[in-house]
Amino acid sequence: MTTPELEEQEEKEQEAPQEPKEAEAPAPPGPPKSRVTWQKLTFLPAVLIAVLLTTWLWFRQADLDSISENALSNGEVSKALWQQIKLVAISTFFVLIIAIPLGILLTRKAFRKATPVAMAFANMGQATPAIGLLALLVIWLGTGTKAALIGITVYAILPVLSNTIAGLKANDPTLLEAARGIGMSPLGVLGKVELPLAVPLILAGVRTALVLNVGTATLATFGGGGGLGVLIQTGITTQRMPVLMLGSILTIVLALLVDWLASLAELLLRPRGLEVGT
Amino acid sequence: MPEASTTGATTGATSGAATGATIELDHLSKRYPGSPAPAVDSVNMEIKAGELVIFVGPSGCGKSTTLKMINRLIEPTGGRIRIGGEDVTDMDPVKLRRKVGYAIQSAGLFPHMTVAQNISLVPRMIGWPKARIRTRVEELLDLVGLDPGEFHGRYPRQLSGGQQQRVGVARALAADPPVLLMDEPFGAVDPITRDHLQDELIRLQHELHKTIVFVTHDFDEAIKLGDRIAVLRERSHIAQFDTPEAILTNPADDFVSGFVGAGAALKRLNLTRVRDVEITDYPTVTLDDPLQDIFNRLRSSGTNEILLLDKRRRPYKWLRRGDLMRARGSLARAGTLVHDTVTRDATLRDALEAVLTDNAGRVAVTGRRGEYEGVVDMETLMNSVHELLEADRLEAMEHQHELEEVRAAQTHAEQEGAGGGKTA
Repeated sequence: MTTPELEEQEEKEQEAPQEPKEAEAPAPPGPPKSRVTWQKLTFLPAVLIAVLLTTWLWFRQADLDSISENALSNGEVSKALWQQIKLVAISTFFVLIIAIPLGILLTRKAFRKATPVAMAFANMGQATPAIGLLALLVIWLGTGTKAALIGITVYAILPVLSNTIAGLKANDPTLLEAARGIGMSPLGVLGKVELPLAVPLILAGVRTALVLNVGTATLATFGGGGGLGVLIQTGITTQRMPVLMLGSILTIVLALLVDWLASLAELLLRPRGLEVGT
Repeated sequence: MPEASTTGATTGATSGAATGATIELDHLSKRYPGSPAPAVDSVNMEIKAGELVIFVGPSGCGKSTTLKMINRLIEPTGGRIRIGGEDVTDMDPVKLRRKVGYAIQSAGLFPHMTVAQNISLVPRMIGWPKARIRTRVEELLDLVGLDPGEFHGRYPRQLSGGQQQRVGVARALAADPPVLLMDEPFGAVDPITRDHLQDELIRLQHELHKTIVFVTHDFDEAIKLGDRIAVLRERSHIAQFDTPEAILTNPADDFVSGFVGAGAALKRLNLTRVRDVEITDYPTVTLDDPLQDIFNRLRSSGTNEILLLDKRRRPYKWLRRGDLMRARGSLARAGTLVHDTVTRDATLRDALEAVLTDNAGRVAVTGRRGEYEGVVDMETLMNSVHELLEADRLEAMEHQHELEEVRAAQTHAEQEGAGGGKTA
């Protein structure tokens, strides 16, 4: 039962994009090599800056009618962007403080039986179309940021929860027995061995959740939650292409940026020693 | 029970003598819920301080379960465990395990911690000061034969299997526990490395005198390492608990003799080490000696061969009479290179192997740093083996009688244990 899971974990590790390879085994450690190469640091931001610059230049020469002007002036754009970022940050925060402890709890012996039930709920959260979920929440809680936040959070719990559970379950049971065998308390085993070893998988889940959240946060506008969805919606209803374009481009850039930051975090937070050797 | 008082007395007498502690298992049992037969059925055993005891038996016989009950990774469902006379059956298992070293198959090192971090885990948990931990880690790495400077900061996945296993042993020894439990620690390494690790363990035990309980399914390993061997059959019933010599020469029953397998006489050679037999001294010269001296030594020595040592006194070449003449006085070309040596810790079997493969029927014995100490040849080996077997035969005659008594006592205790188990 354990070996396929282990292989799975290893596969996941190998899948991690552009992971800089460390020196092979017998080399003396020396100063640890930086895991973030300069290509990794510069490529995506350069692309994003280029996209933003093009958009800006295009807007400079485009002649906008009064409706478009209205939609984009008075700091509307920066307000929408800021709302979007806030929605993503707050919802991700709640996803983390709900999903990771829940994942830990569900892998403890006493609660292991509850895992299928919890997973079923998490699956339901994600299987429900986000917009439908949002509509229901708005009916229940009224319009506003609160409904939007809850909707986004529920929608993104699954990847973090399932990855936390998978990461903790993939740990080699003999290793955990060794940890107990040398006299670690249950909390010590969790904090010093189980969680650090599960970090790569958990972070992968967090990254998925972050990107999901950027996407779902554009739907917040339908519940009066604001965000970049406002621009997109205005663009559609008033049939003004530039407004729609700007909303979409900003959403995409934000999603890619968040994904890039998360990938950096994955590289930096992954415990040393996991990637070396075979 | 009458046994309890006598075991208590022996504990008091022996625990002061060695750095190890006694282990007593008193009707130790494990019954898993839902299975009719217990996995471990009323094991009684007394392990002396500083003794290396091997649990050996077929897979599934409960030997690992019995071992894990000693540090209560598996909670016993009946019976008592005493370590150093102290009853640990109800003590906080976390505290207990910090006092009992534990090493397992494929080391069980944590891949996200460096070698030093892995080793220092237990000392840190019991709150040693930092400076003491640091010196202890260095000391332990040195003890298990790894260079502290080189291996200190490495991660386990940067090490070979054998090196990982050494670190695993170092970690088990970190807080200087009196008792060490080893669960098939060398099961996952290749035969050559395993052999090395076994030799190292023997050397360590010579220095440290811990009480070690070692589980294996490999009878040859058991013979090589054990002071005493417990041959276990299903449900951890002790088929025989005795010295390797006694088990080889006097298996208690068909089960044990089946487990010993064929070639008991050859296996007997595993029990004696080169240091225990007579080694002959050989005329030697070193590379630095002037040629004329070497000639003189060759001529004056009774043998027609001398051993040439290098600058660090390690065996280098066998020089025969005439070799130097043929090579026109060049030491670099003369003689045959020494291709195999045995250490003083090698078993007679290893020595015999080396002597048999050597074309002249002798092999140099070396000390810890590879320096020359003497030579064994076919003749000395034959004599030693002959003496050994003779001694064994005499002992066996004596033992036969003793064994019968022990077995009678054992069956008696088992019956009593079964009765006691039901009431408890």
